[in-house]
Amino acid sequence: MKAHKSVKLKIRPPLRDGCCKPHRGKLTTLLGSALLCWTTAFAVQPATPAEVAAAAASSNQRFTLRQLGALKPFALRGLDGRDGVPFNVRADSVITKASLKLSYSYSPDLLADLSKINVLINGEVAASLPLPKQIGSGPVEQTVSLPPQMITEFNNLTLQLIGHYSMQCEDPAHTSLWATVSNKSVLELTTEPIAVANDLALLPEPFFDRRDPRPLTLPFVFANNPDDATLEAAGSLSSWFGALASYRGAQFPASINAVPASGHAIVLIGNPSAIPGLEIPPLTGPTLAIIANPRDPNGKLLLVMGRDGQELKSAAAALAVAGKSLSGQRLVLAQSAQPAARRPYDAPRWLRSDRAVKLGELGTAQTLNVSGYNPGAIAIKLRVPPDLFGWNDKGIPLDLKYRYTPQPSLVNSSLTIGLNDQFVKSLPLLPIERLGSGTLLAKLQSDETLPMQAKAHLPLAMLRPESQLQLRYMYDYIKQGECRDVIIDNVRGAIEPDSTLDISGYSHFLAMPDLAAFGGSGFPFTRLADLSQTAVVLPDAPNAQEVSAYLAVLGRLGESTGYPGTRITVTRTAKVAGAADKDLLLIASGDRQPLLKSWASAMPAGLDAGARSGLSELLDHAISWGAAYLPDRLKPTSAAQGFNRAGMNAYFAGFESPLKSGRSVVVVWGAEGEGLQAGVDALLGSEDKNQGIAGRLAIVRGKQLDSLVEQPAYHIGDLDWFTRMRWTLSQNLSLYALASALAAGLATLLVFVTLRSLSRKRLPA
Amino acid sequence: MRPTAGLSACAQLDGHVKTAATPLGSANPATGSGRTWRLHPVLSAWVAAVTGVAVSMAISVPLDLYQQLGFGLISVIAALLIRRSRWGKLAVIALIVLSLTGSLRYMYWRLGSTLAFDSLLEGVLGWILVGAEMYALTILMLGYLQTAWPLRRSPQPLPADQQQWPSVDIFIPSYNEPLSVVRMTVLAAQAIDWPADKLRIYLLDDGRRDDFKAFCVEAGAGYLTRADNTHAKAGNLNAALGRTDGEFVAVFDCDHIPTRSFLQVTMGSFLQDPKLAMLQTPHHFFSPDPFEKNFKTFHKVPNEADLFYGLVQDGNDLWNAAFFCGSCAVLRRAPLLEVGGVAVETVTEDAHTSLKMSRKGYNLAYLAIPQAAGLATESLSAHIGQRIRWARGMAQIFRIDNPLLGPGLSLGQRLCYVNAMLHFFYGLPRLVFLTSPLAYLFFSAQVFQASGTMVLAYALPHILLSIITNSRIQGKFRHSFWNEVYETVLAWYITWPVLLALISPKLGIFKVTAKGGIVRKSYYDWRMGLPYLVLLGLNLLGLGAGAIRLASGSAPGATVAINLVWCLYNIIIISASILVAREARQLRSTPRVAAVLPATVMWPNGRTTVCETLDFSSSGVGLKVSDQTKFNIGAEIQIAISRGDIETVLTGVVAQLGENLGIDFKHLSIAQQRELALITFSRADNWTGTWGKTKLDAPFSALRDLLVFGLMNLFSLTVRSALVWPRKLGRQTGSVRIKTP
Repeated sequence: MKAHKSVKLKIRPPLRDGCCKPHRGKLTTLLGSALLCWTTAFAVQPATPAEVAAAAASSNQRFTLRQLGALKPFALRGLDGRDGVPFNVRADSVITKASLKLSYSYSPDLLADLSKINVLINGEVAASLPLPKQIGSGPVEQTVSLPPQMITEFNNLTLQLIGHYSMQCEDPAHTSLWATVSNKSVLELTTEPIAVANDLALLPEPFFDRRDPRPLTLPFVFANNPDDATLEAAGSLSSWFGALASYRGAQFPASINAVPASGHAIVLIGNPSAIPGLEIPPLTGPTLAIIANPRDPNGKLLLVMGRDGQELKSAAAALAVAGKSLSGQRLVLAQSAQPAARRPYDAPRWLRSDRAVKLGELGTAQTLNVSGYNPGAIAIKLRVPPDLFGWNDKGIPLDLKYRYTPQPSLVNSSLTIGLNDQFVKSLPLLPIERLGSGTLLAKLQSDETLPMQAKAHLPLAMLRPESQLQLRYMYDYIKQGECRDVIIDNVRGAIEPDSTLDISGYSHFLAMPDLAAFGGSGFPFTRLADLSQTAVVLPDAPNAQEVSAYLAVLGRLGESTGYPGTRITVTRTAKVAGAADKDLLLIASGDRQPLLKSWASAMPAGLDAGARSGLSELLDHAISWGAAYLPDRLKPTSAAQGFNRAGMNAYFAGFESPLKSGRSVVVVWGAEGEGLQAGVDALLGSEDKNQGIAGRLAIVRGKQLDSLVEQPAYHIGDLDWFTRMRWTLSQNLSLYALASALAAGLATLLVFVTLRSLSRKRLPA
Repeated sequence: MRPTAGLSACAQLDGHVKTAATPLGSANPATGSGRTWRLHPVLSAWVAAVTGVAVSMAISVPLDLYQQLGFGLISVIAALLIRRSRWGKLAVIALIVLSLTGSLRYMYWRLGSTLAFDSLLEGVLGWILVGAEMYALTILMLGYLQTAWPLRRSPQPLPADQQQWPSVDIFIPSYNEPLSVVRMTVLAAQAIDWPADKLRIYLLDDGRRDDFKAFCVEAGAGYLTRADNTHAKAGNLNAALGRTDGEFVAVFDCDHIPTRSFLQVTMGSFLQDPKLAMLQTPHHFFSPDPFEKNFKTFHKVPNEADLFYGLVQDGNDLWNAAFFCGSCAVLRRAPLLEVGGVAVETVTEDAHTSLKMSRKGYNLAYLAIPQAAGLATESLSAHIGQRIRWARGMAQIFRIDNPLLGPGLSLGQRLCYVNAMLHFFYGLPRLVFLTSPLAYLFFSAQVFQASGTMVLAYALPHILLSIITNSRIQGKFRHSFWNEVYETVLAWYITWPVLLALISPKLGIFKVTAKGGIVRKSYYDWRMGLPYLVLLGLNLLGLGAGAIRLASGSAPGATVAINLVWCLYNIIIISASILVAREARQLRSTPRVAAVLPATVMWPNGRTTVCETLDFSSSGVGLKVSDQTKFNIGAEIQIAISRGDIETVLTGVVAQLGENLGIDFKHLSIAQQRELALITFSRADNWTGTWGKTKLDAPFSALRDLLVFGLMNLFSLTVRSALVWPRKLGRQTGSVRIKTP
């Protein structure tokens, strides 16, 4: 296994992986001090004998290039065009066979004897495909087998076009030099499992392996009737795994009293409950252990145990917060305090709102530097709280410091700032001759790049829950004439790490209910990353589907924040009043949740069709007059009409808590059976999280999702009274006119009375 | 005659006070009705808080284009209705509130949404324009503060017992003015009704001229000189303070002729309020100032000084911030000495002295009844010289004794004083406004980062509301847009001295305003007019450039149109300003005042001819005679003129024939001159009849007037040369009507 650790440098890291690395780093530093205390308190159990190696059972994995991160087909241009994707191999398996089923097409004008498409693995040529003159059109399909010995843990699969169209002088930018490789080309890997030690030090592997690009499915096993504390412990673990799984998505099928027949699973045991088939030695405190799955020698079970719910919770929290610094096969943890409570909006994956953020914190030096005439965009992932109040605002100020290689003469080079593929601003990259005097040239640094500064604003309307700031250098070059084009690829561009992005000036204020904020960012629950203001309301006796949905939703919240929900509260229908001062997440299926009936009056209108009175419709009409001034995503849609429950698998509903004003309720409801699963799939599944769940009601019918968007019913956030008042008045013109008239009248009267009394004092009686 | 005149003067005074008070007092039924309802303090604090919030909302809530247009339309319509209403002061304040809301709304939007400049050039020009606008808005707000509630003080009665009347020294400082100007002032001062043993007249001659001394000896007035001329007028007054001892000091510039009622009208207030240190009366001019002379608007359009003495000083009085203007004022000696006499640190010693007395807690007052009249500056250059001095002096005070800082002043006083100073800083902002549209028309520099329609939606209410409001407040004292002309004429000249004084108060020189002179023929003062000709040329070029832009369709129409209209407005104002530099002919060194009085010409042979006088000056009289054949140029005649119970017989020489006979006086004795003064300049109600009685402002007709003046001028300057301007301008005659008994 250690042999696989010969990690190669990734040439082009997948865009998605780029974001979770720094966050993870931050997480550990944040908790570093807490860890130190704990490790001293851990009583390490004597290691149990290593598990017997599992019998070999090979399995096939197929990945399209798209699954590996190529969102678009490879377009290879020029004399030496390259593109590639990373692919990795799970630590608990080894490649025995690998093949690449390529689907590609290429320019008919290429010289057959000189032109090739090379398949490179980690920079080494694994195969070279000739490009004969094509008879017909259409893509060529070819399967290339890749030598498994070239494949390591972390790999890069690169396709290279060696293209020539002429024996004489060639223009490297000639349009006939092209080949495209479909991103539906398939990489097929045959793997065999390898034995993994039962060692907590490996965590989160093998339960989660970041090398695996597929969605994470990790069963959670409970003993009979898990109590609230057990579910809370499970929630903090599932949100931890959700955070780890990141873009892959994570689901946690719950099973009661039964370990899964194959694969890995998490088992939560609170004394005195026991799970059939598992021998649990007596506990002395919160305990973590890894054992082999008794029903699958290649599977592992992570036992999270405690003598009561509290111990179980503290074991889960220790795992979630310090999961990567444990070791041994079994570990009894001293009871310890929870990590400090989080403050609002401090989720590790969210852009900090307490100060300006340096781009260096969001991307590595490697990602902030590019070379070449047309390098890809420097992509910086941004997660911005969904409740930034950007009324009458230019956008998030971006103070960009950048350097580039100035070209000798006037060309159309530029640095383009984009946000989510939308254009924001273009900065010209002036050539040396336009930079003029020696003073600027004097700033030229030894790496021949030039420090520049520019300001831009990222409009809030362009933001999504997961946004991408795209900074793209595009260099122009001047053709010197045939055979004189010796392009030296010496142009560089760099974004200075101390460029800043600043959302600290924004107030937090959001019109609710806004299920788009829930779907995209888990808002309002994720406002506190440890979910300390969240209470999950389950039916009094939740079934497996409901628990699975609960764990999946928590995983989704953890994915958004990057922090385990260690302070989540789980409560039941009967005890909901005790959680009045929290935002409520109701998870229910069928008719198992009576609150849905008793709160029907607070629920969105669509669910009890016909209950609306003529008066409220009239009111709606009056309000919709002002809808022209609403942001697009809050405008009423046609879904507001003609809603029916037929064929509904699941719905999401948002409304103000009937228990306390200013608190929010989000209901995740599924029809009996697979309904909740459909809901969870809708929550996790959509590729583009900006679309989909929105408004106050989102209905899932099979694969279809309809959202009902209406006028906001309430607002949450902390706007200063002045802005709040201005905002309210600007939304309501007649109120504004009234206020202005009142202002003028009162001011006149006040001034008149004041001046009159003053004049009486001044004049002799 | 002086002791006996006391009662008759008081009788005249009563009538006068009534006439003066009626038009002023009738406009405000709200104050007249004496209602005394009052807000409870806690309640009023709440009302103030609610008002503050509501006003800040009205100002700051952003609206889109059509909403803002609606807001503007409604407020302008409301303002027009209020302007015509009969609510008196309530209407004025409502208008001020509306205007300030519109203007602050504009500025809030301006600062928040129009300043994202793309280039350095635009940024620099844009910020300069914003700075000028903020200055203008500040002045607008302070101006409203000053003029919202003119106090309209009335004279206080004196005790019947003349023994209780205090002693008064009258100072008439002079430096280089001719004796003919000074003579009438001294004689009229002697004619003031006040117990003889309590009134002393002093001519303070810094020119140390023998003929002045001889005149004073002959007339029985005090004559004081000093060895040097340090600190000019202030030093002259201070020197005199050291050599006199009256309880009160009244100061008249040597060309300000007081009426006989001056002290009886003013002194009552001092007896009533022991803390009162100074009482100022208006400066009234019976000769046209350069604007009136060259525009020919004398007594049609209120002159430049009318606003200040008619409204601003009276409004200042509410805040106890009316200040001493160097002449036509009474000061209590003790407080004056307490602040070290007349201030010498700055060249506007009068305002600075008031400021010092205010800081000591003394009261200042203003009485809006003209009790003296004088000569206005005659040439534009002299006018400009005078204003440069005022501006420099105010800037000096702003620098060395800023009213916003230091002890002793109330907030109202600070703001009024500071506006008196800031007001003179208009030079640079005015020049910015006159050139701003050129930035776009010439260079396409977007100094205003907003769409043309948006600019209109915000700026129009701001501008219209302030025009409407000021027209209502100042209607009697300044016509709309004239302010622009007055300021534009001075802007070029005032800018540098003010900046210099701000940088270092000691820089710059002090010039005495020359008064009384002859302009033998009309001429164009090219030296004075040149900067404005350049500005006019630039704006005309801008107009052309804009027309080309509009025709080519390369630029957004609304933006070009706005800049063109702005440019056109600038052209009107500048052309009107250029007209002022065309100095009209003035033949008399002593301007005449119209007065129709019965007169009798007595021939050497004993025969008499009954006729009427037309007009007067201190050196001659115009007669209307039915049969002029008897008169020859150079013939010496005697004229008896009577008014009421006074009759005087004067000797004169026929100087001009025609329907209106011109007589120059000859060999008038002091007694004759004194009698002349009594029947002409000294009458108590001389000036109240005409003062502030020009026609009321109507903004459109004011603009039309200016347009006509400006374009006429433009035409005449381009078609004919200013140098061969035909000498067809008639003699300059004041049209003050002196009531005949």
